[in-house]
Amino acid sequence: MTTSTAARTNTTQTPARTTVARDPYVWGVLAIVVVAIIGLHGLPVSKLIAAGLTPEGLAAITRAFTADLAPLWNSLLLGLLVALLGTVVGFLMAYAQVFLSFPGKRVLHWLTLLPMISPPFAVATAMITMFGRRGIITYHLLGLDFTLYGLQGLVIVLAMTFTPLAYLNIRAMLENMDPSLFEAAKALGASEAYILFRVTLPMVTPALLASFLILFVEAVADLANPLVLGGDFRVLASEIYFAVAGNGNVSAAAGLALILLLPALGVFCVQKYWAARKSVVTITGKPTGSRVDVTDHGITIPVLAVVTLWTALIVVLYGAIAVGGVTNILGVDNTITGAHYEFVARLGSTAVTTTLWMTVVAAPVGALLAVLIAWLVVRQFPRFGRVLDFLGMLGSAIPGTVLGLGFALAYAKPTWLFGIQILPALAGGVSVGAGAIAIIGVYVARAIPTGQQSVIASLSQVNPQIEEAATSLGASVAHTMRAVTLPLINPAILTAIMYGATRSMTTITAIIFITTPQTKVMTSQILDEVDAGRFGNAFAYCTVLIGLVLIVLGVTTAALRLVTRRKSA
Amino acid sequence: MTPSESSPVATANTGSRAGALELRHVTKAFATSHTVATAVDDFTATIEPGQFVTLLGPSGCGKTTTLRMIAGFETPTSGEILLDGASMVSVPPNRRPMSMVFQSYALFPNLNVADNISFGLRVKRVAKAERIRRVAAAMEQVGIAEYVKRYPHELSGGQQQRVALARALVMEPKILLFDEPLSNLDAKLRERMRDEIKAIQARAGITSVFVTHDQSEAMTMSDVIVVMNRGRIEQIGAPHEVYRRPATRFVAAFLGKANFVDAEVTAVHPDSTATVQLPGIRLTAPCHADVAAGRRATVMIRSEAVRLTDGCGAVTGTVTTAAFDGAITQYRVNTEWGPLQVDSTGTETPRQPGSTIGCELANDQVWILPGEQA
Amino acid sequence: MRTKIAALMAACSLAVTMSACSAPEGANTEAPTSQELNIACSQQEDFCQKITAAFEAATGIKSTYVRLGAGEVLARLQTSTGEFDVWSGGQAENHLKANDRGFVVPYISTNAGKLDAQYNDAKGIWSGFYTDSVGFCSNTKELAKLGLDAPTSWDDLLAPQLKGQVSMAHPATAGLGYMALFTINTLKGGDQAATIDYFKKLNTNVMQYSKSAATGTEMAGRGEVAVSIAFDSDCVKANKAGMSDLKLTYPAEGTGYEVGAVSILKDARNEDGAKKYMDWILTKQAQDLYSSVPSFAAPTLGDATLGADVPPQNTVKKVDWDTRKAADQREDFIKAFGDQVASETKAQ
Repeated sequence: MTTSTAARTNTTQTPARTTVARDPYVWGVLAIVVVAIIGLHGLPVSKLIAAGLTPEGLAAITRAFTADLAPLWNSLLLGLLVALLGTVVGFLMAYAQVFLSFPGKRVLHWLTLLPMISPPFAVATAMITMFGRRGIITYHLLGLDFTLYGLQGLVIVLAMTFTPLAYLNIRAMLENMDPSLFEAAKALGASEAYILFRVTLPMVTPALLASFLILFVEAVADLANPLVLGGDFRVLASEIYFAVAGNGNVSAAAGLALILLLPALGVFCVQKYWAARKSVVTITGKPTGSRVDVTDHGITIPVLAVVTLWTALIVVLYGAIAVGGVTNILGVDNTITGAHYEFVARLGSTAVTTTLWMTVVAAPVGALLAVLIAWLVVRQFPRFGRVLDFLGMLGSAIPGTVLGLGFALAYAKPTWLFGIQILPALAGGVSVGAGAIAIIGVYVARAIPTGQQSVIASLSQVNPQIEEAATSLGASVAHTMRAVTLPLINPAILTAIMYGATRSMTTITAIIFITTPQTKVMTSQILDEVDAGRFGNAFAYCTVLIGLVLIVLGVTTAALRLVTRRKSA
Repeated sequence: MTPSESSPVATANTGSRAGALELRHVTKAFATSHTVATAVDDFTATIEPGQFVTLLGPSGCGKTTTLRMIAGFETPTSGEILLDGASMVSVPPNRRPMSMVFQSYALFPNLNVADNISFGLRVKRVAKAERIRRVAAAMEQVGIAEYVKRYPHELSGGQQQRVALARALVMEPKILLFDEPLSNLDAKLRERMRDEIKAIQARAGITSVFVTHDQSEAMTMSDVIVVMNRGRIEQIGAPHEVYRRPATRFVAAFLGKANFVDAEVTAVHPDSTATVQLPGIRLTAPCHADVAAGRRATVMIRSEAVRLTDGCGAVTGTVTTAAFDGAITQYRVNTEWGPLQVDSTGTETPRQPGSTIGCELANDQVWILPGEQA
Repeated sequence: MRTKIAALMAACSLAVTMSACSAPEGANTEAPTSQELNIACSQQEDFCQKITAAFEAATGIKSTYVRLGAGEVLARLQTSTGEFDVWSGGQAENHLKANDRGFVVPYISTNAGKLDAQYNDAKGIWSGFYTDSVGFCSNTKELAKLGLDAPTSWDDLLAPQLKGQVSMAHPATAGLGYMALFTINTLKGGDQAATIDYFKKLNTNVMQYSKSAATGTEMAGRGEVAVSIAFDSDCVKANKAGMSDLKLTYPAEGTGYEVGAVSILKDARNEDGAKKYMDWILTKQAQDLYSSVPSFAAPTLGDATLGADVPPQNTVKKVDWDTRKAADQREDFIKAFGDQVASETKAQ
């Protein structure tokens, strides 16, 4: 070993190379992701913006802010109320699940999640039947004359539909809180109520805020429920629908959609970059103690009361769906009949198979893109990756109505680039694949964000040295990804597929503008039946759809078990 | 657990293998949004084939970044890395004939021990028969032959460390890179592993670069130690050189326990010794080449170079604390020169705080450094 | 470097977006022909299904349909033609409207001659294959609670007791809604202001403007509302399906009626099939099927079988319906309705 004290070179020079020379494979993956994001988000949204900024679109925007303020105001009001109710209930359900002990906790968990795996208007329809003006409970049992149509019904139905999102979010955070915190608080003499308000609540504030914002966006964007249950309560989403479906005025619809897009994006940014940063929970993965259940009756009784009420509501509504599918007209003519299932079998079997095959294509594709994005974000471009992360998450930030309309605008005609046709028409009945490609596209766009989140979380926990070890042993970037990274994040990938499949099978708002005759989708068939007032058929459809989702979930869960067992074996 | 003494050394037939590593003016700057932070500044060193070189320094000194640049996980901002004369800078990490052993071991949790070790051979498409032979040899070499079918999470820390080592050795790399591989082990195991690693490396004759912040690891294992601080090399030398003849005050303080006393140099002698004037005494001891007469100097006195007496010596003082540590007793003594740390191996009865003592110096363990420029 | 990548990406996406706007001039966008027949069906699902299957069986032409409201069909044609070959069902004026926008290919079927003049367009734009009228579909139980008889006049719907008890289809999405609008207009002698005025008054009583025609009937059947402005055929159908409280009445001053029309669409990929479909649906053999669907709309062929409970159309007092005018004024009316009626907020 020889020492060299050669003259120092100019050390103040600017760094020319700051990163490892990248494998072409990385650029290939980046290209795939960029093309996918442009195709799934960029083109639809820019087309929508272009259409929204035409004179007709601008006129619609102006009108929405001046002459006809009601829809905008109503949308905001609805969003706020749904977000508030959903977050509060979601928190209580999560709190009960994590901190209280009572029988049937497991069952409660699945009941809470039930609305997530069913089409959105399943709840609306059951609600009308059970709690409407002539509802079985409100009218026949209690003799009330209660009008559900309008704000009150929408708030309950939408809160019920989206509470699972808040519940999952908040529960995860509660579970990750270090139990020693509570022990410390108790050791300092704090009562359980004091702990709830001064320790627990402040610490889950980020999750509460995030849930609130997510629910707000979802509620504002929802289209199916206002159509069914809106009464004279007009919201922006349904105005968009009427503009397109009724008047064929796509530009006006695009203008209104832009109004929806802006607050949604704003909320998304706040949630992603502000709420996330404020997180005070340290996830150690190793709880430093075991949680002691909260037993103070001052807490348990009110919490359990709300939980019981909410669960009872879910049970009643889903009971109504199950029973409604086999009775002639539930609440009017309660004779048992198989007619609705016959109807579904006769008219809906193609919709069932179409929905299934599109889901089977979309969920893995969405999961794959989620994996690629997550990989680029976490491993390859830690700083520029934040942009990618943001772009991938747009699929959940763009309201369904907006995304669907954007797809219709972007892909109803062939896509041209520099005078060369690069894509045939993808949306609409005359397109290649009879519109299925556009629908799958929407499914994929909606599947990416949740998948991306779960894969990023999982990948961040994989020590990068494991991948470097593979590289050091001679494995190329592609080989490392295939042989080392992917097997390690298998569970997250399956979770991504699971979420993607669930979202695909139950989505309606985002695809309502691009369904075609040749490609029948279950949710749109259900909407038709609900809309025509044939609730029995709708109930039968919903039951079948819920069953299908459960089967898909069962299969992926089984696969997940297999994968994790093999690994820990 | 211990490697079998008689195990054949599969990777020792390295006659043809070179492994000379040369780093020339290697600099690494990370651009953050506001500033440019220089992690490694003008690193120049040559490592001979078969040498065991340790990069030693406190955390954040750039030692790991240097290692990662050698491995190819980071690209130097400027400078050149040569392996047997060929530039490595543009060679992707997976094409470099080097294997790395990681701090976290980085075993593939989804693969069993045998599959972990054969991973790299599969990548290289080594024929199955040879693969099996080499994996078996490597496992034998590190003493984990009985764990073939185990998964990493079923192994203890030491066993995992051995698997990681076998996985690197089996590749028969020109360079072995170690990134603080022992820091996750408990003290006893750490000592045993460092002996084993050194033994295996010596038998295999593979050029090794070892990163650690643990001076005793560095001293016991290395042929050469590179002491780094704030991205720069402070000193390169054999363990006894850097310990006894540190080039800078930083090196002296980082390795072992040292006392520093400011002094005036009165004379420099041709035999690389100098005479300095300390309060109350004039002292002649070995000195650094840069020490010049009439200038200020820092006198380094190792804690074990002081012998306590009952009154006379180079300097007298008062014991402030005494801590009995079995083999030695650690004292702090207030003297005219300032507080001194003294490690006494004497078997005499421990001296009580408050007692007045004298300090005798072993002059050959004293080292005179140029005074720090303000 | 990274900002450069980001900027580059942004620039690329912008370029793609800009240039991907539309096909250049003269690009060949003609759709290929097809052996299959695509039907836009503006009737109830089960009717569409039965008729499509029967046509396929009778001619061997493979056919698919999608059920869409008349308004939705118009909107879809606006976005892209060629998706459907033939439009089956929906009021004749919607077909006229489609023709005005250039979406219809006139064709006079060989069987058109057998129909009454009111069931045919002279230029062959459309032919009628079923007909029914606007009526009031009431829930007798609900009315009894309100102390009212089934309405027999348009003005009966304005009764203060009916506040929030009336359902009507949205004129923008359902032909029925617009028919109600135009019926009042005809009764008011074509005075748009008077017409809108009527609906402004009615608005107080309307609980919900539904997206489709049949919704109101079902709501009335369940008692969610007391009265629905509905097709007589839908009302009878719901009654027979189990909503036995429903009662059908007609306004004494006259009501609008619908001629369910069929037309051939532009850019059809199977124009031959479309013509065959039009010929077939105008035969007795096809229209005899209505009684077994069961559809409660009457066939347009006098000699076709009339189902047992189908409201006979010859006894209903009808207004003098001007299809041309109805088509011409549709947009105006819908806009006026949207701006002046539906957007009214009312205290509940």
